[in-house]
Amino acid sequence: MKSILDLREERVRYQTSLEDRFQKTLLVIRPNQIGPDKRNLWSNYASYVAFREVKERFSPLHLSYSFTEEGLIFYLILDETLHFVKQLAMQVEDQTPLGRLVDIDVYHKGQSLSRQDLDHSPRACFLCDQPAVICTRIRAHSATAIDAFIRSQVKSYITDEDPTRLRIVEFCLFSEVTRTISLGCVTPLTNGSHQDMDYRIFLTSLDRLSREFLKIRSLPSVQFSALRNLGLELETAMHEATNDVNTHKGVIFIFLLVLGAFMNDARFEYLSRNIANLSRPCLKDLKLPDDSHGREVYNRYGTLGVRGEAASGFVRVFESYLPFFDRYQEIDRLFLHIAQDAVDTNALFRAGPACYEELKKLLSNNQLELAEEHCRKHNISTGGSADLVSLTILVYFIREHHQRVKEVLHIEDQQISKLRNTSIE
Amino acid sequence: MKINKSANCGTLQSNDVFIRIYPAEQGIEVNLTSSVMAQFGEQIEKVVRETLKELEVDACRLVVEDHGALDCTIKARVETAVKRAHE
Repeated sequence: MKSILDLREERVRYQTSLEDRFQKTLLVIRPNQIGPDKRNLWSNYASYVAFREVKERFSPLHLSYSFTEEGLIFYLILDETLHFVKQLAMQVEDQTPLGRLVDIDVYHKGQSLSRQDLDHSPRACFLCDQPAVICTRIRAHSATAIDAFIRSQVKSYITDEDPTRLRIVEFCLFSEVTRTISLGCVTPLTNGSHQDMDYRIFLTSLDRLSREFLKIRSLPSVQFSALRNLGLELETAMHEATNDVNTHKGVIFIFLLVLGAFMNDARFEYLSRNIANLSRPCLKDLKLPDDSHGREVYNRYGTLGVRGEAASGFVRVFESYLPFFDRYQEIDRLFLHIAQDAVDTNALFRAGPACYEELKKLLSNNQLELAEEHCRKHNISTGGSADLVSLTILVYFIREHHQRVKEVLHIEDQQISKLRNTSIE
Repeated sequence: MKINKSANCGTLQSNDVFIRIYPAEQGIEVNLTSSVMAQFGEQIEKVVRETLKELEVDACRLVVEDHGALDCTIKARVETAVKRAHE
Protein backbone atom coordinates (compact mmCIF):
# COMPACT_ATOMS: atom_id res chain seq x y z
CA MET A 1 0.00 0.00 0.00
CA LYS A 2 1.25 3.46 -0.83
CA SER A 3 1.83 5.90 1.98
CA ILE A 4 -0.14 9.09 2.10
CA LEU A 5 3.11 10.97 1.38
CA ASP A 6 3.59 9.05 -1.88
CA LEU A 7 -0.04 9.67 -2.79
CA ARG A 8 0.40 13.38 -2.20
CA GLU A 9 3.46 13.54 -4.47
CA GLU A 10 1.55 11.61 -7.11
CA ARG A 11 -1.40 13.94 -6.84
CA VAL A 12 0.75 17.02 -7.29
CA ARG A 13 2.27 15.42 -10.42
CA TYR A 14 -1.26 14.78 -11.70
CA GLN A 15 -2.23 18.39 -10.97
CA THR A 16 0.81 19.64 -12.89
CA SER A 17 -0.15 17.45 -15.83
CA LEU A 18 -3.65 18.97 -15.82
CA GLU A 19 -2.21 22.49 -15.73
CA ASP A 20 0.11 21.66 -18.63
CA ARG A 21 -2.65 20.06 -20.64
CA PHE A 22 -5.23 22.81 -20.34
CA GLN A 23 -3.13 25.96 -19.71
CA LYS A 24 -6.02 27.31 -17.63
CA THR A 25 -6.73 27.71 -13.93
CA LEU A 26 -6.92 24.53 -11.90
CA LEU A 27 -9.07 24.33 -8.78
CA VAL A 28 -8.66 21.40 -6.38
CA ILE A 29 -11.12 20.53 -3.61
CA ARG A 30 -10.07 18.10 -0.90
CA PRO A 31 -11.22 17.23 2.60
CA ASN A 32 -9.71 19.24 5.43
CA GLN A 33 -9.05 16.30 7.68
CA ILE A 34 -6.21 14.52 9.39
CA GLY A 35 -5.42 10.83 9.63
CA PRO A 36 -4.00 8.08 7.44
CA ASP A 37 -7.29 7.60 5.56
CA LYS A 38 -9.44 10.66 4.99
CA ARG A 39 -12.27 8.79 3.31
CA ASN A 40 -15.43 8.59 5.35
CA LEU A 41 -19.15 9.30 4.97
CA TRP A 42 -18.98 12.81 6.34
CA SER A 43 -15.81 14.21 4.78
CA ASN A 44 -16.65 12.67 1.38
CA TYR A 45 -19.93 14.57 1.40
CA ALA A 46 -18.25 17.82 2.47
CA SER A 47 -15.96 17.54 -0.59
CA TYR A 48 -18.95 16.87 -2.80
CA VAL A 49 -20.96 19.81 -1.47
CA ALA A 50 -18.02 22.18 -2.06
CA PHE A 51 -17.76 20.77 -5.58
CA ARG A 52 -21.46 21.43 -6.14
CA GLU A 53 -21.10 24.99 -4.80
CA VAL A 54 -18.25 25.69 -7.22
CA LYS A 55 -20.05 24.03 -10.13
CA GLU A 56 -23.15 26.16 -9.51
CA ARG A 57 -21.03 29.29 -9.95
CA PHE A 58 -18.96 28.13 -12.95
CA SER A 59 -19.08 25.33 -15.43
CA PRO A 60 -15.70 23.63 -15.59
CA LEU A 61 -13.94 22.91 -18.88
CA HIS A 62 -12.73 19.70 -17.35
CA LEU A 63 -13.69 17.68 -14.31
CA SER A 64 -11.96 14.70 -12.75
CA TYR A 65 -11.77 13.16 -9.29
CA SER A 66 -9.67 10.80 -7.24
CA PHE A 67 -10.63 8.63 -4.30
CA THR A 68 -7.60 7.44 -2.36
CA GLU A 69 -6.54 7.58 1.28
CA GLU A 70 -6.27 11.33 0.66
CA GLY A 71 -10.07 11.39 0.50
CA LEU A 72 -12.49 12.35 -2.26
CA ILE A 73 -10.76 15.03 -4.34
CA PHE A 74 -12.23 17.02 -7.23
CA TYR A 75 -10.11 18.67 -9.95
CA LEU A 76 -11.76 21.39 -12.03
CA ILE A 77 -10.30 23.40 -14.88
CA LEU A 78 -11.89 26.84 -15.10
CA ASP A 79 -11.54 29.42 -17.83
CA GLU A 80 -11.01 32.29 -15.38
CA THR A 81 -7.99 34.09 -13.93
CA LEU A 82 -6.11 32.65 -10.98
CA HIS A 83 -7.00 35.66 -8.84
CA PHE A 84 -10.69 35.40 -9.65
CA VAL A 85 -10.83 31.66 -8.97
CA LYS A 86 -9.01 32.11 -5.64
CA GLN A 87 -11.66 34.60 -4.58
CA LEU A 88 -14.34 32.12 -5.50
CA ALA A 89 -12.52 29.42 -3.56
CA MET A 90 -12.31 31.57 -0.44
CA GLN A 91 -15.96 32.46 -0.80
CA VAL A 92 -16.86 28.76 -0.74
CA GLU A 93 -14.44 28.08 2.15
CA ASP A 94 -15.61 31.00 4.28
CA GLN A 95 -19.25 31.52 3.40
CA THR A 96 -20.84 28.15 2.74
CA PRO A 97 -21.95 25.98 5.68
CA LEU A 98 -19.49 23.14 5.07
CA GLY A 99 -16.74 25.29 3.57
CA ARG A 100 -14.56 24.94 6.66
CA LEU A 101 -14.38 21.21 6.11
CA VAL A 102 -12.52 21.44 2.80
CA ASP A 103 -9.33 22.94 1.42
CA ILE A 104 -9.63 24.55 -1.98
CA ASP A 105 -6.37 25.32 -3.77
CA VAL A 106 -5.93 27.08 -7.09
CA TYR A 107 -3.06 26.92 -9.58
CA HIS A 108 -2.17 28.49 -12.89
CA LYS A 109 1.06 28.02 -14.85
CA GLY A 110 2.85 26.63 -11.84
CA GLN A 111 1.72 29.51 -9.65
CA SER A 112 -0.57 29.30 -6.67
CA LEU A 113 -2.16 31.99 -4.52
CA SER A 114 -2.48 31.87 -0.77
CA ARG A 115 -5.17 33.55 1.29
CA GLN A 116 -2.55 36.01 2.51
CA ASP A 117 -1.76 36.99 -1.09
CA LEU A 118 -5.32 38.32 -1.25
CA ASP A 119 -5.06 40.01 2.14
CA HIS A 120 -7.07 37.38 3.93
CA SER A 121 -6.13 35.90 7.26
CA PRO A 122 -4.80 32.34 7.18
CA ARG A 123 -7.41 29.70 7.95
CA ALA A 124 -8.36 29.29 11.56
CA CYS A 125 -8.70 25.90 13.20
CA PHE A 126 -12.34 24.85 13.42
CA LEU A 127 -12.06 23.68 17.01
CA CYS A 128 -10.21 26.62 18.53
CA ASP A 129 -9.41 29.90 16.84
CA GLN A 130 -5.67 29.47 16.42
CA PRO A 131 -4.22 29.40 12.91
CA ALA A 132 -4.97 25.91 11.58
CA VAL A 133 -1.37 25.33 10.55
CA ILE A 134 -0.25 25.64 14.20
CA CYS A 135 -2.94 23.29 15.54
CA THR A 136 -2.03 20.67 12.96
CA ARG A 137 1.70 21.11 13.62
CA ILE A 138 1.39 20.51 17.36
CA ARG A 139 -1.47 18.02 17.03
CA ALA A 140 -3.52 20.21 19.32
CA HIS A 141 -6.69 18.14 18.88
CA SER A 142 -7.32 14.42 18.85
CA ALA A 143 -8.55 12.69 15.71
CA THR A 144 -11.68 11.75 17.68
CA ALA A 145 -12.46 15.39 18.47
CA ILE A 146 -11.92 16.43 14.86
CA ASP A 147 -14.03 13.55 13.51
CA ALA A 148 -16.83 14.36 15.93
CA PHE A 149 -16.84 17.99 14.85
CA ILE A 150 -16.96 17.12 11.16
CA ARG A 151 -19.73 14.56 11.71
CA SER A 152 -21.90 16.97 13.66
CA GLN A 153 -21.42 19.77 11.12
CA VAL A 154 -22.35 17.52 8.21
CA LYS A 155 -25.36 16.01 9.99
CA SER A 156 -26.68 19.41 10.87
CA TYR A 157 -26.21 20.55 7.24
CA ILE A 158 -28.07 17.50 5.92
CA THR A 159 -31.06 18.11 8.16
CA ASP A 160 -31.23 21.87 7.58
CA GLU A 161 -33.98 23.20 5.37
CA ASP A 162 -32.81 23.94 1.81
CA PRO A 163 -35.37 25.42 -0.60
CA THR A 164 -33.52 23.94 -3.59
CA ARG A 165 -33.24 20.26 -2.65
CA LEU A 166 -33.87 17.51 -0.14
CA ARG A 167 -30.32 17.24 1.16
CA ILE A 168 -31.09 14.03 2.93
CA VAL A 169 -31.86 12.37 -0.42
CA GLU A 170 -28.69 13.84 -1.85
CA PHE A 171 -26.63 12.52 1.05
CA CYS A 172 -28.07 8.99 0.86
CA LEU A 173 -27.59 8.63 -2.90
CA PHE A 174 -24.16 10.26 -2.81
CA SER A 175 -22.90 8.11 0.04
CA GLU A 176 -24.08 4.88 -1.57
CA VAL A 177 -22.13 5.49 -4.79
CA THR A 178 -19.04 6.87 -3.03
CA ARG A 179 -17.41 3.66 -1.88
CA THR A 180 -14.48 1.43 -2.72
CA ILE A 181 -16.17 -1.99 -2.96
CA SER A 182 -17.88 -2.21 -6.34
CA LEU A 183 -19.30 -5.71 -6.94
CA GLY A 184 -20.17 -4.57 -10.44
CA CYS A 185 -21.60 -1.20 -9.40
CA VAL A 186 -20.36 2.24 -10.34
CA THR A 187 -18.01 3.80 -7.77
CA PRO A 188 -15.50 6.66 -8.05
CA LEU A 189 -12.86 4.03 -8.89
CA THR A 190 -14.65 1.94 -11.54
CA ASN A 191 -17.69 1.79 -13.80
CA GLY A 192 -18.17 -1.81 -12.70
CA SER A 193 -20.21 -3.89 -15.11
CA HIS A 194 -21.77 -0.83 -16.74
CA GLN A 195 -20.74 0.43 -20.14
CA ASP A 196 -23.19 3.31 -20.17
CA MET A 197 -22.55 5.00 -16.83
CA ASP A 198 -19.85 6.35 -14.57
CA TYR A 199 -19.51 8.14 -11.24
CA ARG A 200 -20.05 11.50 -12.88
CA ILE A 201 -23.43 10.48 -14.31
CA PHE A 202 -24.44 9.32 -10.84
CA LEU A 203 -23.51 12.72 -9.40
CA THR A 204 -25.53 14.48 -12.11
CA SER A 205 -28.47 12.17 -11.53
CA LEU A 206 -28.51 12.48 -7.75
CA ASP A 207 -28.15 16.25 -7.98
CA ARG A 208 -31.27 16.42 -10.13
CA LEU A 209 -33.22 13.89 -8.08
CA SER A 210 -32.47 15.58 -4.77
CA ARG A 211 -34.12 18.69 -6.25
CA GLU A 212 -37.06 16.80 -7.71
CA PHE A 213 -37.72 14.95 -4.46
CA LEU A 214 -38.82 18.26 -2.92
CA LYS A 215 -42.10 17.71 -4.76
CA ILE A 216 -43.07 15.02 -2.30
CA ARG A 217 -43.73 17.82 0.21
CA SER A 218 -46.55 19.23 -1.85
CA LEU A 219 -48.38 16.03 -2.78
CA PRO A 220 -52.07 16.52 -2.06
CA SER A 221 -52.31 13.04 -0.58
CA VAL A 222 -49.71 10.42 0.13
CA GLN A 223 -51.41 7.41 -1.40
CA PHE A 224 -49.78 4.74 -3.52
CA SER A 225 -51.19 6.07 -6.79
CA ALA A 226 -50.00 9.63 -6.08
CA LEU A 227 -46.55 8.32 -5.21
CA ARG A 228 -46.49 6.23 -8.34
CA ASN A 229 -47.28 9.28 -10.47
CA LEU A 230 -44.58 11.29 -8.76
CA GLY A 231 -42.24 8.34 -9.28
CA LEU A 232 -42.86 8.43 -13.03
CA GLU A 233 -42.17 12.17 -13.01
CA LEU A 234 -38.90 11.62 -11.15
CA GLU A 235 -37.91 8.86 -13.55
CA THR A 236 -38.44 11.22 -16.48
CA ALA A 237 -36.28 13.83 -14.76
CA MET A 238 -33.61 11.19 -14.15
CA HIS A 239 -33.60 10.15 -17.82
CA GLU A 240 -33.38 13.80 -18.82
CA ALA A 241 -30.41 14.43 -16.54
CA THR A 242 -28.53 11.29 -17.58
CA ASN A 243 -29.29 11.16 -21.30
CA ASP A 244 -31.52 8.15 -20.79
CA VAL A 245 -29.39 6.09 -18.46
CA ASN A 246 -31.16 4.28 -15.64
CA THR A 247 -29.08 5.27 -12.64
CA HIS A 248 -31.64 5.44 -9.83
CA LYS A 249 -34.94 3.93 -10.88
CA GLY A 250 -35.11 1.38 -8.08
CA VAL A 251 -34.17 3.79 -5.36
CA ILE A 252 -36.73 6.37 -6.52
CA PHE A 253 -39.43 3.77 -5.96
CA ILE A 254 -38.07 2.79 -2.54
CA PHE A 255 -37.53 6.32 -1.27
CA LEU A 256 -41.01 7.44 -2.32
CA LEU A 257 -42.60 4.58 -0.42
CA VAL A 258 -40.55 5.17 2.71
CA LEU A 259 -40.86 8.95 2.73
CA GLY A 260 -44.55 8.62 1.85
CA ALA A 261 -45.20 6.23 4.73
CA PHE A 262 -43.29 8.54 7.07
CA MET A 263 -45.30 11.56 5.96
CA ASN A 264 -48.55 9.72 6.62
CA ASP A 265 -47.51 8.74 10.12
CA ALA A 266 -44.28 10.10 11.53
CA ARG A 267 -43.93 7.61 14.38
CA PHE A 268 -40.70 5.73 13.79
CA GLU A 269 -41.81 2.60 15.61
CA TYR A 270 -44.63 2.14 13.08
CA LEU A 271 -42.62 3.08 10.00
CA SER A 272 -41.90 -0.48 8.84
CA ARG A 273 -45.52 -1.52 9.27
CA ASN A 274 -46.73 1.63 7.49
CA ILE A 275 -44.38 1.05 4.56
CA ALA A 276 -45.80 -2.48 4.28
CA ASN A 277 -49.35 -1.17 4.21
CA LEU A 278 -48.60 1.55 1.73
CA SER A 279 -46.67 -0.84 -0.56
CA ARG A 280 -49.26 -3.56 -0.79
CA PRO A 281 -50.67 -2.37 -4.12
CA CYS A 282 -47.25 -2.69 -5.73
CA LEU A 283 -47.32 -6.48 -5.48
CA LYS A 284 -50.23 -6.38 -7.91
CA ASP A 285 -47.86 -4.65 -10.32
CA LEU A 286 -46.04 -7.91 -10.78
CA LYS A 287 -48.95 -9.24 -12.81
CA LEU A 288 -48.75 -6.41 -15.30
CA PRO A 289 -46.39 -6.41 -18.29
CA ASP A 290 -43.41 -4.15 -17.79
CA ASP A 291 -39.76 -3.85 -18.65
CA SER A 292 -38.29 -3.86 -15.16
CA HIS A 293 -35.80 -6.49 -14.11
CA GLY A 294 -37.70 -7.10 -10.90
CA ARG A 295 -40.80 -8.20 -12.75
CA GLU A 296 -38.92 -10.39 -15.15
CA VAL A 297 -37.07 -12.05 -12.30
CA TYR A 298 -40.38 -12.68 -10.60
CA ASN A 299 -41.76 -14.27 -13.72
CA ARG A 300 -38.68 -16.42 -14.17
CA TYR A 301 -37.66 -17.28 -10.65
CA GLY A 302 -40.67 -16.38 -8.50
CA THR A 303 -38.59 -14.01 -6.36
CA LEU A 304 -40.52 -10.97 -5.24
CA GLY A 305 -37.43 -8.77 -5.13
CA VAL A 306 -37.71 -5.20 -4.00
CA ARG A 307 -41.50 -5.23 -4.24
CA GLY A 308 -41.56 -8.09 -1.81
CA GLU A 309 -39.11 -6.24 0.44
CA ALA A 310 -41.33 -3.17 0.35
CA ALA A 311 -44.45 -5.20 1.09
CA SER A 312 -42.64 -6.68 4.09
CA GLY A 313 -41.92 -3.13 5.28
CA PHE A 314 -38.23 -3.63 4.50
CA VAL A 315 -38.01 -5.76 7.56
CA ARG A 316 -34.33 -6.68 6.99
CA VAL A 317 -33.39 -3.00 6.78
CA PHE A 318 -34.94 -2.30 10.15
CA GLU A 319 -33.87 -5.50 11.88
CA SER A 320 -30.43 -6.12 10.48
CA TYR A 321 -28.95 -3.38 8.28
CA LEU A 322 -29.81 -0.44 10.50
CA PRO A 323 -28.26 -1.96 13.67
CA PHE A 324 -25.25 -2.92 11.58
CA PHE A 325 -24.90 0.66 10.32
CA ASP A 326 -25.27 1.95 13.88
CA ARG A 327 -22.21 -0.09 14.84
CA TYR A 328 -19.83 0.98 12.07
CA GLN A 329 -21.25 3.98 10.16
CA GLU A 330 -19.11 2.94 7.25
CA ILE A 331 -20.42 2.51 3.74
CA ASP A 332 -18.21 -0.30 2.43
CA ARG A 333 -18.96 -2.53 5.40
CA LEU A 334 -22.67 -1.79 5.16
CA PHE A 335 -22.71 -2.54 1.44
CA LEU A 336 -20.88 -5.83 1.94
CA HIS A 337 -23.19 -6.83 4.77
CA ILE A 338 -26.25 -6.15 2.60
CA ALA A 339 -24.80 -7.85 -0.49
CA GLN A 340 -24.23 -10.97 1.62
CA ASP A 341 -27.73 -10.92 3.05
CA ALA A 342 -30.17 -9.61 0.43
CA VAL A 343 -31.60 -11.31 -2.64
CA ASP A 344 -30.38 -8.88 -5.27
CA THR A 345 -32.77 -9.17 -8.22
CA ASN A 346 -30.50 -6.87 -10.21
CA ALA A 347 -27.62 -9.32 -9.92
CA LEU A 348 -29.87 -12.37 -10.22
CA PHE A 349 -31.30 -11.03 -13.48
CA ARG A 350 -27.90 -10.45 -15.03
CA ALA A 351 -26.24 -13.57 -13.69
CA GLY A 352 -28.90 -16.25 -13.60
CA PRO A 353 -29.41 -18.40 -10.50
CA ALA A 354 -26.26 -20.58 -10.61
CA CYS A 355 -23.86 -17.74 -11.23
CA TYR A 356 -25.58 -15.61 -8.59
CA GLU A 357 -25.34 -18.43 -6.06
CA GLU A 358 -21.61 -18.60 -6.75
CA LEU A 359 -21.30 -14.88 -5.98
CA LYS A 360 -23.23 -15.28 -2.73
CA LYS A 361 -20.93 -18.13 -1.73
CA LEU A 362 -17.82 -16.03 -2.34
CA LEU A 363 -19.35 -13.19 -0.35
CA SER A 364 -20.31 -15.34 2.59
CA ASN A 365 -16.75 -16.74 2.69
CA ASN A 366 -15.45 -13.15 2.69
CA GLN A 367 -13.53 -13.75 -0.54
CA LEU A 368 -13.94 -10.19 -1.63
CA GLU A 369 -11.26 -10.13 -4.36
CA LEU A 370 -12.76 -13.21 -5.97
CA ALA A 371 -16.25 -11.79 -5.65
CA GLU A 372 -15.16 -8.59 -7.44
CA GLU A 373 -13.52 -10.71 -10.12
CA HIS A 374 -16.65 -12.85 -10.45
CA CYS A 375 -18.83 -9.75 -11.01
CA ARG A 376 -16.41 -8.40 -13.63
CA LYS A 377 -16.17 -11.69 -15.45
CA HIS A 378 -19.90 -12.37 -15.56
CA ASN A 379 -20.98 -8.77 -16.01
CA ILE A 380 -23.00 -8.79 -12.80
CA SER A 381 -24.06 -5.65 -10.96
CA THR A 382 -25.39 -5.64 -7.41
CA GLY A 383 -27.50 -2.51 -7.84
CA GLY A 384 -30.31 -3.94 -5.71
CA SER A 385 -28.00 -4.13 -2.70
CA ALA A 386 -26.80 -0.60 -3.44
CA ASP A 387 -30.40 0.66 -3.25
CA LEU A 388 -30.78 -0.91 0.18
CA VAL A 389 -27.59 0.87 1.29
CA SER A 390 -29.20 4.20 0.41
CA LEU A 391 -32.37 3.16 2.17
CA THR A 392 -30.56 2.14 5.36
CA ILE A 393 -28.97 5.59 5.59
CA LEU A 394 -32.32 7.25 4.96
CA VAL A 395 -33.97 5.25 7.72
CA TYR A 396 -31.03 6.00 10.02
CA PHE A 397 -31.61 9.73 9.55
CA ILE A 398 -35.35 9.41 10.03
CA ARG A 399 -34.74 7.69 13.36
CA GLU A 400 -31.68 9.63 14.54
CA HIS A 401 -32.79 13.13 13.55
CA HIS A 402 -36.50 12.51 13.70
CA GLN A 403 -37.74 15.99 14.49
CA ARG A 404 -35.46 17.74 12.01
CA VAL A 405 -36.33 15.34 9.18
CA LYS A 406 -40.00 15.94 9.93
CA GLU A 407 -39.44 19.66 9.63
CA VAL A 408 -37.51 19.32 6.38
CA LEU A 409 -40.41 17.29 4.94
CA HIS A 410 -42.90 19.83 6.31
CA ILE A 411 -44.66 17.21 8.36
CA GLU A 412 -46.76 18.94 10.91
CA ASP A 413 -47.32 17.49 14.31
CA GLN A 414 -50.66 15.72 14.24
CA GLN A 415 -51.92 17.69 17.19
CA ILE A 416 -51.21 20.99 15.45
CA SER A 417 -52.67 19.93 12.13
CA LYS A 418 -55.80 18.66 13.88
CA LEU A 419 -56.17 22.00 15.63
CA ARG A 420 -55.70 23.77 12.33
CA ASN A 421 -58.34 21.60 10.65
CA THR A 422 -60.76 22.34 13.48
CA SER A 423 -60.21 26.05 13.21
CA ILE A 424 -60.89 25.90 9.48
CA GLU A 425 -64.15 24.11 10.10
CA MET B 1 25.25 7.67 2.57
CA LYS B 2 26.73 9.67 -0.27
CA ILE B 3 24.76 12.32 -2.13
CA ASN B 4 25.63 11.64 -5.76
CA LYS B 5 23.21 13.94 -7.53
CA SER B 6 20.52 16.48 -6.85
CA ALA B 7 17.01 15.21 -6.09
CA ASN B 8 13.79 16.44 -4.59
CA CYS B 9 10.95 15.12 -2.53
CA GLY B 10 7.65 16.32 -1.08
CA THR B 11 5.18 18.97 -2.16
CA LEU B 12 4.28 22.59 -1.47
CA GLN B 13 0.89 21.54 -0.07
CA SER B 14 -0.11 22.65 3.41
CA ASN B 15 1.16 20.32 6.15
CA ASP B 16 3.85 19.07 3.83
CA VAL B 17 7.45 19.99 3.11
CA PHE B 18 9.33 20.28 -0.17
CA ILE B 19 12.99 19.31 -0.06
CA ARG B 20 15.71 19.75 -2.65
CA ILE B 21 19.00 18.07 -1.98
CA TYR B 22 22.33 18.81 -3.73
CA PRO B 23 25.78 17.23 -3.50
CA ALA B 24 28.38 19.27 -1.60
CA GLU B 25 32.16 19.05 -0.96
CA GLN B 26 31.88 19.00 2.78
CA GLY B 27 29.55 19.85 5.65
CA ILE B 28 25.81 20.20 5.77
CA GLU B 29 24.07 23.39 4.77
CA VAL B 30 20.35 23.81 5.37
CA ASN B 31 18.36 26.67 3.84
CA LEU B 32 15.01 26.66 5.57
CA THR B 33 11.85 28.63 4.96
CA SER B 34 8.62 27.81 6.78
CA SER B 35 5.11 29.15 7.22
CA VAL B 36 5.64 28.49 10.93
CA MET B 37 9.26 29.72 11.05
CA ALA B 38 8.86 31.78 14.21
CA GLN B 39 7.33 28.95 16.23
CA PHE B 40 9.02 25.86 14.80
CA GLY B 41 12.04 26.95 12.73
CA GLU B 42 14.58 25.53 15.17
CA GLN B 43 12.69 22.29 15.69
CA ILE B 44 12.38 21.69 11.93
CA GLU B 45 16.10 22.24 11.36
CA LYS B 46 16.87 19.90 14.26
CA VAL B 47 14.73 17.12 12.74
CA VAL B 48 16.36 17.63 9.35
CA ARG B 49 19.91 17.46 10.75
CA GLU B 50 19.17 14.48 12.99
CA THR B 51 17.70 12.56 10.08
CA LEU B 52 20.77 13.26 7.94
CA LYS B 53 22.99 12.11 10.79
CA GLU B 54 21.05 8.85 11.17
CA LEU B 55 21.53 8.23 7.44
CA GLU B 56 25.24 9.03 7.80
CA VAL B 57 25.14 11.86 5.30
CA ASP B 58 28.15 14.10 5.98
CA ALA B 59 28.04 16.43 3.03
CA CYS B 60 25.10 18.01 1.20
CA ARG B 61 23.14 21.17 0.69
CA LEU B 62 19.41 21.11 1.48
CA VAL B 63 16.72 23.60 0.53
CA VAL B 64 13.69 23.04 2.74
CA GLU B 65 10.35 24.75 2.07
CA ASP B 66 8.05 23.87 4.91
CA HIS B 67 4.29 24.44 5.06
CA GLY B 68 3.59 23.18 8.54
CA ALA B 69 4.60 19.52 8.15
CA LEU B 70 4.68 17.25 11.18
CA ASP B 71 8.08 16.04 12.40
CA CYS B 72 7.38 12.52 11.10
CA THR B 73 6.58 13.94 7.65
CA ILE B 74 9.79 15.99 7.60
CA LYS B 75 11.81 12.94 8.59
CA ALA B 76 10.19 10.74 5.91
CA ARG B 77 10.68 13.39 3.22
CA VAL B 78 14.37 13.87 4.09
CA GLU B 79 14.89 10.09 4.02
CA THR B 80 13.32 9.75 0.59
CA ALA B 81 15.24 12.76 -0.78
CA VAL B 82 18.53 11.21 0.39
CA LYS B 83 17.59 7.84 -1.07
CA ARG B 84 16.76 9.41 -4.43
CA ALA B 85 19.99 11.43 -4.45
CA HIS B 86 22.03 8.33 -3.59
CA GLU B 87 20.72 6.11 -6.38
